Amino acid sequence: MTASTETDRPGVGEQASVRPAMSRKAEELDRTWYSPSGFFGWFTQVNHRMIGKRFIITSFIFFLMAGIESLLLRTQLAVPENSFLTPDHFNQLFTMHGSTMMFFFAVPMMEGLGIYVVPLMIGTRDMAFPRLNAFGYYVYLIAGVTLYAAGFLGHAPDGGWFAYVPLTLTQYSPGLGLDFWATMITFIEISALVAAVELIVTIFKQRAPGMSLNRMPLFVWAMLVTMFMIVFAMPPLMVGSVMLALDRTVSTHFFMTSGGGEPLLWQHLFWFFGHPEVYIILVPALGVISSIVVTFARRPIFGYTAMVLSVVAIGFVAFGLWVHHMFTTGLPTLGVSFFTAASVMIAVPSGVQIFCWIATLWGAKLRFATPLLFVLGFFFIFVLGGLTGVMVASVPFDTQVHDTYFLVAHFHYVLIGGAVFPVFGAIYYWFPKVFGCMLNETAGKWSFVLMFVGFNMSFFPMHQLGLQGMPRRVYTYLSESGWFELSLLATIGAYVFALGVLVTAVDALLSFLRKPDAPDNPWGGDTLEWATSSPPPNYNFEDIPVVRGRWALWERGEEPAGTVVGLRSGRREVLVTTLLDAEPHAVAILPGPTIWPFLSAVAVAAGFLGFIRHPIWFPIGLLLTFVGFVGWLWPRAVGGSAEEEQAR
Amino acid sequence: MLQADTERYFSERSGIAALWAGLLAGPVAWALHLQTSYSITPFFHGPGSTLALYLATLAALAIAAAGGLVSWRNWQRAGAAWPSGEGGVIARSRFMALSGMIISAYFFVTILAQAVPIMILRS
Repeated sequence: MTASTETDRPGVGEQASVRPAMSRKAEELDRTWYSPSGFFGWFTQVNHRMIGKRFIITSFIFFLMAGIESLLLRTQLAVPENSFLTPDHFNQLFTMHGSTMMFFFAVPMMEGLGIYVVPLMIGTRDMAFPRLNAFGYYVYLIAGVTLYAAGFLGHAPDGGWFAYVPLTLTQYSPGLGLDFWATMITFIEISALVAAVELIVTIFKQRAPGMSLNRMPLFVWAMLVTMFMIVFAMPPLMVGSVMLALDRTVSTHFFMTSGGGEPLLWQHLFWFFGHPEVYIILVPALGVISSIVVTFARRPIFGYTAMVLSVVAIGFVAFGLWVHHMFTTGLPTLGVSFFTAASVMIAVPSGVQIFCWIATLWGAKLRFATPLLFVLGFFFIFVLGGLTGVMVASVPFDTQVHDTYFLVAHFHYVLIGGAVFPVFGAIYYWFPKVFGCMLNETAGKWSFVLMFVGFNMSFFPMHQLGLQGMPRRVYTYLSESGWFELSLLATIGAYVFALGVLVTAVDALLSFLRKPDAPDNPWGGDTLEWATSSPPPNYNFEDIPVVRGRWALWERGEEPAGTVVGLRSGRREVLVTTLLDAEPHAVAILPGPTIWPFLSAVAVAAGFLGFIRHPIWFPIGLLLTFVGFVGWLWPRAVGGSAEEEQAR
Repeated sequence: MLQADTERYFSERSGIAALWAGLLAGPVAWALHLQTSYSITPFFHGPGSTLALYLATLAALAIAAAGGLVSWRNWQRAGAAWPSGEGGVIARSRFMALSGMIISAYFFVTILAQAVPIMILRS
């Protein structure tokens, strides 16, 4: 292993240096990669950092909204026979809570992190398809706002985030709520798919020279695997939700038994997406944890190859688990047993990762800053969630606890432990890079303690409630059930957890009032995003770096690594490198700011939303989208400045 | 000279294809095994019907083992050393080859684990 010495690494906690005036090249680059400002300018921005930041902030707002929904649910369940919420409102709230957390918070948050961090980490100036990037964000925003607007106007879905048929067919759910749900879920998957395509191409073709596959940062590996998973997992859900929408709007019979349809087909399609979805959320978090562990242990990861392989193995096996959500549907015992085997086997690569992190941390001189605290919290919570996961992989046990609070405890341990804690670690870790100022460490530690204590107080008792037989998705329970004390404890825990989230949210808001003063590399990290200023300039790097080792900044050594020459500053040029070895082989010219991705997203949205009322909107939407794409792809001038042409 | 030949081999299509084949054979074998076994299970009833499942398992194990073998040969060719963070074609090839060996072994065991229910539930 090419471990670097202590002296190779940049100073930890170094003060912000007074930056020299911009060079002529930097000034030209700044103009070339400029993002328009102002209200109208906002709709034309395409730079990956702008779009990534929007994904992160928007998804965090959705996280807060889903959190408020969960507090309302817990308030209702605090005492038996409570009438704080009506049964209908309870159904709507848990549907919106689940849908928001999965579709509008977790996946977009991970995409946002990838869109912002990956291009910086691999040393390029933007992503491969900047306009597609912007289009994906508008699609996401329109889908989320529409679903909530429909909810506030009395059309909230109430069939659960899984929308099982036949309950969600018009016969049993006659309102428009599920029409909005099915349509917007189809719509938002477009956003996930375009982000996946962009990130895959960017990672494969735009890495800085020298960053061969065996040198790629673990976060980049994690994002690459996740994006491939999205490409294979999202289409089945899109197909399923389109079929559901057609059953509801034009009375097709995909899921209606009376017309020869098959309700279990919905569950297969949904869970073929739904289980990989869990890993689509988890795998980027594994990359975040590796980044934080390496930085705060101040040493290279133990078992780089094993870590990469674990992520790749998880990416594959995640697609072989979906039937374990259907153990009680009456499928053949032998058939479901294959999925028990796969569900148990996926614990192996997950365990390998945990052991590699422990080995990295073992004996290291740790710096217990807030990001590392959230990672340590992840270890405890996620391992507990993994243990109950192995338990419910067994058909007999799963049959016993199916649809009880044991399951609610299990998947919150996996999802909050596996995604929310790492995301909060990531927020504290990359906040100085994104916004140029540090978050308050004391507030961060308070936030962690409150979230950790509140989480365990809320969800650990649910294991016991489940074992005592408390069913999930019920709006209240009888006093004689014996579930009151633990339910009340869970509710108190939820409020403590929310307080912890609030501390971070307020800290982040207050930080915007401070003057940006973060150093370029406040934590002493090893990856390339720390080699540029905080926040980075419009062009990310004045000179594209050349990578000389797996721990790019730690292995720079005394001798300069060199930079890429030959890219023009007067137009949006990025270096294209080979897939395996990252050797330079071409230059790509990226498009600049434009309104067309926004207009195209509005056109697609018009088609989707109009379809709820009448099928004629489908061709109308198609026509409008065609117009949008023509404007988007209209040929553009690509010439550089006259001076530069002369210089070349 | 030998190193130059190795570099050339792993830079050409055939060498790169061998690296990818070794890396992907295990996962592909596992996916085919799972899908085939799950799909045909409802159509078989009674003693003797598990033969097709055993055949699917053997075929999948053979593909995963072949992936491991191809990766092992690639690894030998690339110097049979543990992959490091060095640059260049050889280091990258070692990384891919060793990864292929480990991932093939993992999916070989996973296919075996999926075959255990066939023995227990139909015996």
